[in-house]
Amino acid sequence: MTGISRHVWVLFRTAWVWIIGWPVALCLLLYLAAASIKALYPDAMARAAYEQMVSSSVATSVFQGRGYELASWGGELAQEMGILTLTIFPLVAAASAIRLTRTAEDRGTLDIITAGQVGRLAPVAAGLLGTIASAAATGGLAAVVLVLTDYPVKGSWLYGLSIALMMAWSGALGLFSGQVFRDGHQAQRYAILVIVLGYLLRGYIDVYDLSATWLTPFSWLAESRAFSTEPPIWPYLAFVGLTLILSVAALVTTAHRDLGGGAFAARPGPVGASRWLVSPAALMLRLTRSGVVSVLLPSAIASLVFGLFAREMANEGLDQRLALLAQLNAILACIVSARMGMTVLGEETSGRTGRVLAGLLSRSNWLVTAFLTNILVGLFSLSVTGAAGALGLMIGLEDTERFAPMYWDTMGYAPAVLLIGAIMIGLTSIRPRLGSLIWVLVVWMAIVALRADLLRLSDEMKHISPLEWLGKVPIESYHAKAAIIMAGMALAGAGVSLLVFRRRDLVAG
Amino acid sequence: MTPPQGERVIPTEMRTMNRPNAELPVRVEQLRKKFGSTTALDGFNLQVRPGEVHGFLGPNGAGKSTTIRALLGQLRPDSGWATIFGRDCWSESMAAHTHLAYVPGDVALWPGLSGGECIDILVRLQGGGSSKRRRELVERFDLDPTKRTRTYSKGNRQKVALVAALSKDCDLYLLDEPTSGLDPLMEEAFQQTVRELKRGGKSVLLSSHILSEVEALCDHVTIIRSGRAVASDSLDDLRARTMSWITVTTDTEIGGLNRLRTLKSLTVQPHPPGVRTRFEVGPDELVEALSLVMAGRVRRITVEPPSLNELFLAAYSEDDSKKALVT
Repeated sequence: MTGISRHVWVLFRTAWVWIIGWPVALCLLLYLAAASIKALYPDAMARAAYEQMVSSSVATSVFQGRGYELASWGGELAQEMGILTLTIFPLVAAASAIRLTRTAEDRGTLDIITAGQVGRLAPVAAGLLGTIASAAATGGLAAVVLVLTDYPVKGSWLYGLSIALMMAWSGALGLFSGQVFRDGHQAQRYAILVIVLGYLLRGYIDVYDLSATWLTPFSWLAESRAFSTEPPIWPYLAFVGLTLILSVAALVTTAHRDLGGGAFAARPGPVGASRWLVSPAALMLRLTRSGVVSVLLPSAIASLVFGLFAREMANEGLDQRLALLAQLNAILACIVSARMGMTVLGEETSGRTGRVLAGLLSRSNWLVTAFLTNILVGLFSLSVTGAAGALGLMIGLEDTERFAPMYWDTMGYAPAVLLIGAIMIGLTSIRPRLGSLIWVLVVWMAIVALRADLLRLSDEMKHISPLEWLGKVPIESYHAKAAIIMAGMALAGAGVSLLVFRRRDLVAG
Repeated sequence: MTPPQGERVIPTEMRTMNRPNAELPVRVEQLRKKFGSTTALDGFNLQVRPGEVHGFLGPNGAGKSTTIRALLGQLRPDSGWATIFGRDCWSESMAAHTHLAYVPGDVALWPGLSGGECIDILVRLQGGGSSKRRRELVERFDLDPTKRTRTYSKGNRQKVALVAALSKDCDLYLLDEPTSGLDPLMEEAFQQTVRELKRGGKSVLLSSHILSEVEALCDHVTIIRSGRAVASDSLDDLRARTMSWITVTTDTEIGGLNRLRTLKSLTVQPHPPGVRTRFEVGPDELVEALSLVMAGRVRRITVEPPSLNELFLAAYSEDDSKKALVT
């Protein structure tokens, strides 16, 4: 473990955005939500009405989990933030842990660092400390934010603690995944899969009101009941226990594996490339295959499960829920599209694009291929999640005629997916590093879809999300004109990207 | 008519003639490229002739890789020209690429694919190659193509790039430090392959830090310093213009050596029954130096031309070496 302090210093020096930046951004969301809740439910009558509405809502159970103390501001906040604290918070924590440990190893920097007076376990232990620090910063900031907005002090600190512990175990999951698998991308895929499956399992437990909340840490957050007068201690201990188990497992795995390797030996690959791998499009699909599947598979399962709960949601504004499902499907397709774009930019920064373009492939051909495969895969993802949701709805309501409308409502967001693909390619064509900015837009789309009302976002702010331009079908009419304009913008953007990419230097090669 | 500002105009004699072999494989004229405030290439000139193995030397950051990237059309020159078989490397890069194969200095492969898959993809994207030649090269470079490339060492990644590039039958090979990770056995295999290319009349631009490799393979050498060519000629001519070492054992001490203007590093030691004298002398006074030596009743004499290492160091020494080396 020698050299941990130095390694921690290196992490704070080189990855401070992951350790400090994310907690600040997440707590900004929390602050907006906390302030909104006080304004939306100012008196006991409004809070009682909220309690009555939410406690009988299946959709709320599916997305946000169980609610406790719903007649208090604290309970309402915990409930309304549920969808974010159960998804974005753990995903960020797992991604941060992988970024702080495995990604550095993938880049080869650990080879140099561990050649000095740094113990074998030091980088992972330092990554764990960085992850815990990030979780603690999130929890601490959350508590301070709530206290400053006049939430109960004890409840605020316990809520902060529960968020910190939620992020700590997710971080430990990322850490463990990073030690078991052979690179950061693979580690991230499996961590996401575990988080999505855990989230769905929690949804099942909550919808059917099963007394099995001990089964998944995604239930423990609600069970921690921070704003209760007598909160139970077991969820907090369970979080600590799981974090310890995963952390020790990560350290033990590290102690028994080679630097740069994983817990399992790599399988040999084929002697040559298959016959279909002859075009840049085929290459791009091959390179993004596992990344796309890792998002698409859990997304389709989630969409299917959501649809299956349609009968339970039938009495609480089903159309509104289906409009949300269609938007979520579109956001997932945009995530797939953005991930593909990240692969393309990674190709250039690694120098592989330069090597590929030293052959008989033109820059125009490469960029057009990147754009077309991006939008095709994005639209394919939209189609798959749309079909999965429609299938779930059809089975849930036992009505085959439900399939087509749900499917086509989802496909109506195709111009938005097209636009996201074009923006991604456009940013990458200017400078590869700019491509990462697409995540700001995608995250904003998710915030608008899930929490626009809670955050009291203005129409202007909401319309930064391309999904809002198209109308929330089936509760609103579809804006065909906006769809045509968006498609036109995407194609024009792609054309401009082509001109820019043809005229600039490649960053590596 | 004056071209619009920023538009590139190639002189008439450098325009495409659709007869690749009628043009020089590589021609670079007054190439300039800046990255912000850093000047990477500062009026750089280079010519590679048909059938020539051309060594391209320079320390890190001198501009070798920038030159090769400009030749590949990855970088847009600020001014000057770079052509491959008469095709402008920026505006006609695709046409230029039909004649070349490339091995990068820093080989990045797709980590999830096997070495064999990477070779095939690269070969297909560069217009195809001979599968028989691929098999031969895989065997010659002792590469296991079934391993995932993330498990490869630097040398093995280099082998993948070499096999992919050398599988292509083309007129020009651009090799950017191709052997930096190879062991001595593989270095020998590489040299054998380059000699075969040379016998086949192919042109090779070989950027390297391994001077013994360049000395063994190259007919012609260009040394780059701070983005400029400080030496460019055949090795023989470069040597002919540089100081030579003379070591001689004579019965009596040699007189008159101090008259030589270019005399350096003179040492005289008793070597019974005679005297051992060693010194450096410039090419213009070599004959005069030898006539003085012969007057001293020679028992043994060696005249050593400068090694490539010495030529390289001379080009980079702080004295006025540039005048002595550039043609």
